[in-house]
Order: sequence, then C-alpha cells, then structure tokens
Amino acid sequence: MNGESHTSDDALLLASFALGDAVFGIDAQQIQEVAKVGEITPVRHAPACVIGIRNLRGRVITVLDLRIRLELGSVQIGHDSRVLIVEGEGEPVGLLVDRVDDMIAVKPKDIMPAPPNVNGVQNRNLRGVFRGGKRLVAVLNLATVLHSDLGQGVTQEKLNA
Amino acid sequence: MEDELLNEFLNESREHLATIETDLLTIEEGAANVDEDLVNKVFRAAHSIKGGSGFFGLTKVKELAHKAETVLDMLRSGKMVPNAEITNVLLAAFDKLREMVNNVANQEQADIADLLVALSGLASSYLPADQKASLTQSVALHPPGDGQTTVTVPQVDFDRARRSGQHVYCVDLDLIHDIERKGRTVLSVFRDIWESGEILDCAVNYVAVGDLNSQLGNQLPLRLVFATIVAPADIGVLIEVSEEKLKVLFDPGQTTNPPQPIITPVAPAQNFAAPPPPVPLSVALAPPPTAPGPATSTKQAVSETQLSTDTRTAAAAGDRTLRVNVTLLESLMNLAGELVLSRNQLRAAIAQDDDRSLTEADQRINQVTSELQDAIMQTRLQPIGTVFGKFPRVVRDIANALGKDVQLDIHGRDVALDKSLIEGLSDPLTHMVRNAVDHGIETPEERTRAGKKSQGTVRLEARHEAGQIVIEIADDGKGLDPRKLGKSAVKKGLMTAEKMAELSEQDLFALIFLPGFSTAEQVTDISGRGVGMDVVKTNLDRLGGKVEIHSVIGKGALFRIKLPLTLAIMPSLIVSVGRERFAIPQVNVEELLHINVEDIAKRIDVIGDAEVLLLRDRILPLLRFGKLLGLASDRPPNSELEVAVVTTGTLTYGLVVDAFHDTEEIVVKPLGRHLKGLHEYAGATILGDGAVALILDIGGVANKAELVAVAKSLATHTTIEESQTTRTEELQSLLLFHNAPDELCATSLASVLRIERIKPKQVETVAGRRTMQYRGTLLPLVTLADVAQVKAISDDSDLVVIVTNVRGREVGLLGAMPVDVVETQAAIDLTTHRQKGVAGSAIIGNRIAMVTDMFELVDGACADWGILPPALPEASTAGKKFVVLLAEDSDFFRAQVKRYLEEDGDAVLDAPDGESAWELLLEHLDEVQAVVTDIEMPRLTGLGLAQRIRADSRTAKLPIVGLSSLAGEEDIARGKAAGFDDYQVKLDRDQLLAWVRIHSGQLSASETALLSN
Repeated sequence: MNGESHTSDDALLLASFALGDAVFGIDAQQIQEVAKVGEITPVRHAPACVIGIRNLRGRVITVLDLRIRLELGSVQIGHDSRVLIVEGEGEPVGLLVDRVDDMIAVKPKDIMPAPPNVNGVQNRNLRGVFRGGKRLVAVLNLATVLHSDLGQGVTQEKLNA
Repeated sequence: MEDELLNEFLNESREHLATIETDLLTIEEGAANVDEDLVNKVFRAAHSIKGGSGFFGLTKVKELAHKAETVLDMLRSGKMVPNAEITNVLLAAFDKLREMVNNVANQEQADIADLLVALSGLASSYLPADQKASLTQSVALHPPGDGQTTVTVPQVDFDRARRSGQHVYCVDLDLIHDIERKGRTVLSVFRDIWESGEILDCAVNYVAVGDLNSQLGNQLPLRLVFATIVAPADIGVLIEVSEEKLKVLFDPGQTTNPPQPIITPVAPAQNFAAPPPPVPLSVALAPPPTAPGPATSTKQAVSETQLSTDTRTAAAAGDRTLRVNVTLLESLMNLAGELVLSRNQLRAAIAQDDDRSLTEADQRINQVTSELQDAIMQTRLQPIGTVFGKFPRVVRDIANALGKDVQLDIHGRDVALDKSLIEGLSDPLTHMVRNAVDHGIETPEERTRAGKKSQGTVRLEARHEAGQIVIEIADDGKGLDPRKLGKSAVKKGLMTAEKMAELSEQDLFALIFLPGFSTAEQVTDISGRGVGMDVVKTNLDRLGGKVEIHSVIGKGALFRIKLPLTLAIMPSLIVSVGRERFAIPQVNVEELLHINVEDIAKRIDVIGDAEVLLLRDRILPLLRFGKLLGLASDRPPNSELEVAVVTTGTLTYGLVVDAFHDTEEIVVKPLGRHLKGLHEYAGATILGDGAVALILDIGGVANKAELVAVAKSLATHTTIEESQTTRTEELQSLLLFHNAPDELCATSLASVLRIERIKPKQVETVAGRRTMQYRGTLLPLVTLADVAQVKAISDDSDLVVIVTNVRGREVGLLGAMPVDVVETQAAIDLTTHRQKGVAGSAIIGNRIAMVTDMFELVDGACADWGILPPALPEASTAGKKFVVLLAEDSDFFRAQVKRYLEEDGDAVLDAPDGESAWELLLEHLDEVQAVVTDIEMPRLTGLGLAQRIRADSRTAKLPIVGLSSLAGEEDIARGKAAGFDDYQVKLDRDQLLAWVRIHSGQLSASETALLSN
C-alpha cells in the first residue's frame, strides 16, 4: 500500500468509471491522468480491443477500448468519454471508458471476491467487488487487463509446444 | 573545495583513460608509422594524470603515470617502435591507473612494483648504454642568483623540456591568494600550462612557508615546477603571480639568443633586475650544441597546443558530459522562443477571457511542447562507436590468450542510438564478440588445415535498415552446427529427440539462448564466465531487440541484432489512404508513379488473381494498400492510380495509395506492446499537426499481403547465386554500357568486335532504318529500345557503337557512355528482366545490368534488312529429334545455349557440371547424339568429360564440341588432345547450330562453310 493517499492508512482510493451501465473502479494511484479522447489513429490488424494510437505530449500511446477488452460491447465515443492513462509494464496505456465518475475511499477488506457467475473474461480481470451503500463497484486488476498475449518469446514457446 | 577539485581531477582522468585503449591499439597497428598526434594525445593523458596526482598527493598514481609518460615520450620521439610487448605493458599500466583512479582512497595500497619494473625495463632497453642512467637520475636546478632554492627534476623530464626548447620555471604560489581569490582553480592553472608545456613537479611547499613570514594561517603555498615554451616576459598569460615568486630555472635561448628581461620591466625584482646570466646548472645540463632552433620548437609547441585541446574535447564526450549538435541546440533555442511566444499568447487569452484564443494557445503550446521534448530526446543520441571502441582491445586480448590471429573490422561507428540503448548494448555485444573469437574463429593451424586464411576476421557492423538499427557480429570461423546444438539440448534434457527432429535450423540455433545451455566443449576461461547467451538474450529483449542467427558450418556465423529505433529520425514519404496517413521510410521508396486512367490497361496487368505493374522492363507485384487494410478508398474504382514503387532490397513492389503528401523528417516512436505483433508497422510518428501516423514496414506489409512467396523464391534465388559465386565458376567478361542514363546494359565481351565512340550526327536515319558510314560500308545500327521495353537513348548522350558480328554481318548496337569492361562471376538471372532482346540481368557492383541478346535484338530490329538467318533446311522432323547433351555450369549460358538448340528443333539434356553430364550420358546412352560442353566446370571439367567419353567404348564416337570464352591456341590444342572435335567461342549461335546440324546430318559441309564464312 502506498502511503500517499489522504485518507486513513489502510484505505484504498478507487477511481470509478462507467462502462455501459456497470461501474468499475481501479486504484487511483495507478492513473496518471484522465484525458479527453482526442484524435485517435486507428491501427489496422491490431487486436480488437486496441482502438488506436494517440499522441500524448509527444509520446505515442496505445488506447484500449475497455468495454471490448472486457467483452461488454464497445464504447460509443461521446461527450463524456474519457481516456484513463495508466502505466502498464513500463509504458503508458490509454483505457477508453464511457464516463468517469468519482473517487471512492474503500478499505481493502471491504473488497469481496467476485461472484462466480461473472463472465469469465471479466472475472479474470477483477480484483473483487466493493459494495458501499447502494453502490456496487467492480474493482479491476490492472495487471491482467493490460496483459498482452502478443510478443512472447518465440523460441521458448516452440520448444514447449 | 578540495573534494570538489579532486573529483574534477578524477573525472578528467577517467575521461582521458577512456580513450587510451583504442589509441594505444591504433598506435601498435601503425608500428613504425607512428601517428605522432595520437602518441601525443596519449602522452598528454599520462602527463595530466601525473600532474594532478602530484598535487593531490596520490604518489603511486603519479609514479606510475610518470613511468608510462617516459615510455610514451620514447615512442613519440621515435626511440621506440610500437610493438605488442610495449602495448601490453602500457595497456596494463593504464588499466592499473584506471583502477587506482577509481579507488583513490586505496591507491597507496596498490601494487605497482611489477609495472614500474616493466616500464623502466622497456625504457632502458631502448636507450643507448650511456643514456640509461638518465632514467633514474634527477638533475638539480638552481634559479640564477638564488643559492637557497634547489629544485630537482627527473632527468628524462628535463631532457624532454630542453629538447623542445622550453623554459623551466619554478613558482611558489599561494593557493589562496594567487589562485582561489583570482577565481581560478589549481586544475585550471594546470590546464593552461599543459597548453604550452608540462608540469614537472608540484607539491605543497613547506619550505616556502617559512620564507613568507606573514599571515601564515592564511596561506597555502604550492611549489610548481613546469616547463613551457612561453618566454619569461609573457608568463603572465599562464599564471598571474608577482615576479619574485617566479624563478627561471632554465632558459633554452640564453646560449644563442640575447638575454631577455624576465617578467615586466616595470617593477624589476631585486634578484631578477638584470637579464639572467647563464644558468649555473650541473654539468650534465649544458645545452647540447645542436639545441633546437626557435622555429622547430615553436612548431612543436603549436602542435602540442592543438593536441591538448583535442584531447580535452574528446574527453568531453565522456560519461558526464554530452556532445550536442549545434543545429539541434539552435532548434532547441528556437523552440524555447516559441514557447515564450505561446505563453504570451496564453496570457493574453486569459486576460481577454477569449475562448478561441485560449484554444489556439493550447494547441500551440501542445505542439511546441511535443517538439521541444523530441528535440531534447535527440540530444541523447550517441554514436555506437563509443561501444565499438572497446572491442579492438577485447578481440586482441582474447586472440592473444588463445593463440589466434584475428582481425576486427568495424563498420558504422557513426550510427547514433539513444544513450540508454548504447549502455544496454555494451554487455551483450561484448559477450558476442568474445564468443566469436573464442568459439567461432579457429586456431591458425585449424584454419590452414581447412584451407582458410590463417587470420580470422570478426566483423562488427551497425547500420540503419527499414526503421531499425541492425548490428551484426559476424565471424568467418567454424560456424554453428545445428544438429550438434540439438543433440546437446536433448542430452541436457531440455527437449526430447522427437521434438528436436521437428525443429528448423533457425530454431536449433536459437537453442543457444536457452538458460542452462552450453555445450561442454564450449566452456572456456574466456567465455565461460557464467554469463551465457541467455543473459545476452534477456538483455536484448529488455531493449526490445531481436537476434537472428545465420551460420554455415565451416564458413562462419552471423548474429544479427535488430533494435527498434526509439529516437531515430527518418526522412519519410507521407501517403494517405482514405482519411488515414502513413509514413513510408524514404530509403524504401524507389519512385512514385502517377498512372492516368487511359494508361491503366497498359501499365497494370493481371496474372492469375494477382495484379502486376509493368514498369519499363520490370514486372512488379502490385499491392492495393487500402484493400489490404480493409479501408475504403476515397477514389472511385478505375480512376487514376498513385503508385509508390517500394523496395526492401530483395523485393520490389508497387503500393497503391490514394495520395502522396510531403516528405518529412519524422521522429520514430515505438508502438506499445499490444501492437508488437504487427510486423507491417515499423512504429509511429507524430506529424506536424500533432496527429499520429503509422510508419510502414515495407517488408512486413509485403508479408501481410502474402507477397511472401515471391520474396521467398527471391531469397532462395539469392542463396543459389551466393553458393554459385563461391564455386570456382569461371569469370565472364562483360562489356557494360548504358542505354538511358539509368539503364545499365551488358553484353558478352566475346561477341564484341569493336567499340567506337561516335557523334549523334553520324547516325543517319533513312526510311526508319538507322545506319552509319563505317569503314567504307553502311553499318546497320540497332538500339535496345527497338525491341525491348526500355527507354530510348537520349539524343544528347555520348554515343558508342558496339560492333558485333551477327550471322556473318556486322551490326552496331547503339549505346551511351560510360562503357566499362568487368570480369564477373555474377550469376545471370534469366527470369526477372527477361524480355525480347534482353537475355536476363546480372548484378554488377550493386547495380542491375540488363544482358542483351544480340541475336534476338538483330532479328527483332532488322527483320526486313536481309540479315535474317540463311534459310536453313527445316530442322528435324517431328518424330525424331536430334539429342544433344549439354554440360555448362553457368545458368545463363546453359539456358541460352539450350534455347538456341531447342528453337532449332533439337532435344537437349543439360547438366550443370561434367560429372552430372557423364551420369546423364550413361542414363541416355542410346539417345545422346552429340555433346556440347563448357570447359571450366566444377567437379569434372569439360576436358575431363571429353577424356572419359573417348575412353569409354560405348561413347567414344560421340561428336564433342567444347565451348569456351577463352579460346587461345593453347586451349584449342588441349581441347583437341582431350578429344574435342571442335572448339567454339561461347554464344556464337550460328556456328554452334551449324556444327550440330553437320553432326545430325542435316547440313552438308559446304553449306556449313557458307554459313560461317
């Protein structure tokens, strides 16, 4: 736990956002910034969840449609859509979401395991579910969300094939 | 302050030491041709280390540096000729110095005794007996009129100063008043002195403290003994000090020049009021009668001054400082200016609360910031030479240790990479270079036994290629044995034997990157240091690099590292399809074509379901980029086309896009890891308007479009070509000439009678036929464009007429200067450029030359000129063909001759060498009726084949004709002796056909005589 949040020591600050009707959250510390969608250059032949690349102050970052990634349809880019810039394996990646909500301070112990009937893809990418009052927030595991199945060592794979 | 100074000195010393290794090796290479500048540079380095260490009381460092300096001085003055022994000792000494500098706290404990002995031994062994003593002796110097002060300096140093016509001074400085309070540091004073001379000694001088009776606590006296060409009168340039503190110990001019006043005459000091009398030095010090004249000494001093500046700039390129291109710096300045303007714009916008100006300012700042960031990132680009620089030493040391003779060739030192990449590459490259010398290159004995040059070569090369940095480490050693690697992996339990059998050669090579993989015989002192290729791989992976291995057993191995260009700048062509823009690296672009609607049918063709582009004499695959991307084109179907002819070097194709835009210098940005699998893109770039465009990887795009099949067959073709050239294939003499300036042509020199330069007006065109008057007759002229799809010869070119004999008549082929004759082993490609009049193409010195087919040319161009082939009787009847066995190793000649024969109605069995021709003959004993053979062939020569045929009763009666491009009297005699019935010059179609016809009984001897008149 990074001790930088302004809430009590063991609290986790979640940034919550909407994907369709569902509310998700990720550890706010992992978000570098929230950007408007901006001009996205599509990349043909890229994995479906990659909607394109974007200029972020001189860096070219990959933007993933988080809804496609989690098999929840796709984001319709509109007035409220935002790109969350997060750091994954040493490079910034943009996550396109429908709407950014607010910050919620939660205690890690209040994050429950995800119910088993949650879709496989989503389940694999969830850290758990937080329930506060009437809100239900699915807390994402950023590491698995950002994991790319591409570009692994070819040799090793072939040998183990 | 002391610490800061010490650090400054240590850093400076490290920078000096960083480049010394390479310099010493270069000096050794030069042997007797001593590169004086370089020796001077190294000498300076040793000298400044000595000087500084004296000041800081680093006695061991000083002592070692001093001895090294002495040896270097002997190299410099030519008393010693650089050799391996000297270099070894010097390298060891500088290694030790580096070690001590890096650990000054413990320099006292360093063991330098052996090195001192070795250095002194070197120095003394090169000195005449009577001078040996000077190495250990010191001389005592007294300033004139000052009995109290005695300064002793090593005699070698003094001799050197005297030789260069330098003055020797002693100065007692007060560190506080004379240096610090004047805003200087000891090191800066040292540097000024080094510009023009040397520091002989320096020490904090407690004797002097006693003399200066006031403010003891406020003084830090330092005695400095130095030699310089600067005359006493001008010494203020070097050091500002009151004259009573400065004493002249030795004045080189005093014997020949009139005495000169010391310092300024304005305030003459007591001791030095009069010009200095002759220096009362010890006997040994009397200046030699051949004291150097002022001219020589000045010259030397000047060159030394420049050198020390050079050394310093070189040192500035070291670790802690960075060299930045001035243009880059200027663009940074401009951008900073832009930024200020944008800020003002922003302020104004905020003050006026104007949304539109605010947005504009935002955009502007956004763009400037991006550009500024790019520019700053570029300052990090460094030449890879900084890494390559250490390899001569690495290779030399390993080769020496293993008793191997290895030459290291380095190319592409200037290729610039990001500083971080450079740092990350250092270790993997070192390991691979070590491996190449250790495992790759054999011992001289092994090499000689294998028929190789005893000296092995390791090649290290860096270059830009298709948006990547390619680094190659190649050796001509024994190569990697894929099966051996596989077996070893099985033995170590890394995989099963079945799996091994499935692996391709590439996969087997890649085994060496597996952790824990190392064949037993591979472990040696040199490379087996616990760092394996797996670590190399891991390091390179971290940098985003890929390694390829190519190897031929017995020939050598090639490791190719491809690194993404994270910061490189590439001139690129911006194209668009639909609304999307893409960048194509300019290196891949051959030409841009605009094809009008009416030309489409002419220029674009369909073969199978593939579109091809007809470009002059070439047929290129055509790729509609929009279709490949699944993008809707802006253009209606069947409208005009924009085609970029792009090439990867091995594969050239036409890429159809919607529009061409500018060529821009783009900065390559890597793509994120989610996109790493897309080989059609080499990266992305940010265009002038801030939008992102993808950079195309032309090879990757071709693969994606499955032009790969073509690429592959081309690649196979190249390998065949390569393997052929390594064979002992005979040289072909080709006459090179030009058609259009960019169209290189070649014709077999054997068929050329004469070459004449002519003026355009000599060419007379009458009724569409081109002729010229030549030696009293009319010479018909043809050009390649008469028959082939090539450009017409331009009228203003320098014309040449290549006179050849076609069917007994002289015909001139018009070409353009320059012409050249080359002897080449290049294989002639019979397909790619084949068209009427062009037999094929050959690659001559990186250029493609079209090889002409004179018969086709003349037949095509002069069909109605009456130089048609004489009406030969209808060749063989339909049923029974005359069967000719053809042995010829050159694909080109074999295909040509075969074509002649087949066109003439004969059946041809062809073989690429004598041995396979013999086998073929035995298989077709009953069919073969005549043998046509080349002379020089691998495995079995034409002569050998003829002897064998004659020796075997079954074939002894077969007619044999030998074909050769070399047909001297002697050759003919040898051919006849071996059993040839006839001997002909290659590619004389009519002669050959006539011969065949005689032997097939289709033509009488008299008719033949008529034919070949």
